[in-house]
Amino acid sequence: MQTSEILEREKRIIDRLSEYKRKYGMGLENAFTNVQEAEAFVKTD
Amino acid sequence: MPLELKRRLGHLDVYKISKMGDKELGDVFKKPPALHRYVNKMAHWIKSACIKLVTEYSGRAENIWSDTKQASEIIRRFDDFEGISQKKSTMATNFLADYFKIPITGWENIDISVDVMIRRVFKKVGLVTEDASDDNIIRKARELKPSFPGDLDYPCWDIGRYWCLPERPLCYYEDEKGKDYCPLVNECPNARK
Repeated sequence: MQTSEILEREKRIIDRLSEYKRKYGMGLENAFTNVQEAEAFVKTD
Repeated sequence: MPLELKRRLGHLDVYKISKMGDKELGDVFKKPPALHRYVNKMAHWIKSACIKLVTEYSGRAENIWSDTKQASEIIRRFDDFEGISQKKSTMATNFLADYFKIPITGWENIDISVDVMIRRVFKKVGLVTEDASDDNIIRKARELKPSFPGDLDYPCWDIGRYWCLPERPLCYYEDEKGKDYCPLVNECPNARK
């Protein structure tokens, strides 16, 4: 496979992964029993 | 685990946990169902983390990241905890920056958090060779997404967990509910029907 073909393929992989993340988030959405509590915790000054 | 530990202890007070005896805390972890595969080691690491929080961060976990904006420094601080390595330190910083939107700079220093799922996906899809080390994978992720290598973490991990299985990968999957396929199936040299 030529270098340009490898780079194009890698770009397509990155695009697919980015699309997946846009669609499904980061997987944390269901990780906490109380998201507000977790968010308040990390944002405490 | 934190939720169940809180149920068993009746609190998650780092000051109280830091003063517990090793056996006392280990017994809490061991109670069926055990809280971890390695109960004594995990109990030790939790107590060690509580002692560090009390002595270095005034007993508050958010002090690990509240006085610095640099991702590299936050990762270094997580790495300083006993039992924490590249995977957990980068993952925690990734969550703080990208999910919780804590104002952190230097996202280019947030690497992918290498584990068995990430290794499998990177190797099967041909981004690295079969004999690649974790460092090779980290370097490849930096090359693919220099502005934020850790951005690749969750999608690769999820693909490794649901589709790219070690024995019988579900590249193309079909059951009575319908058809499904791996998001990377068109780019994967190892995809099989």
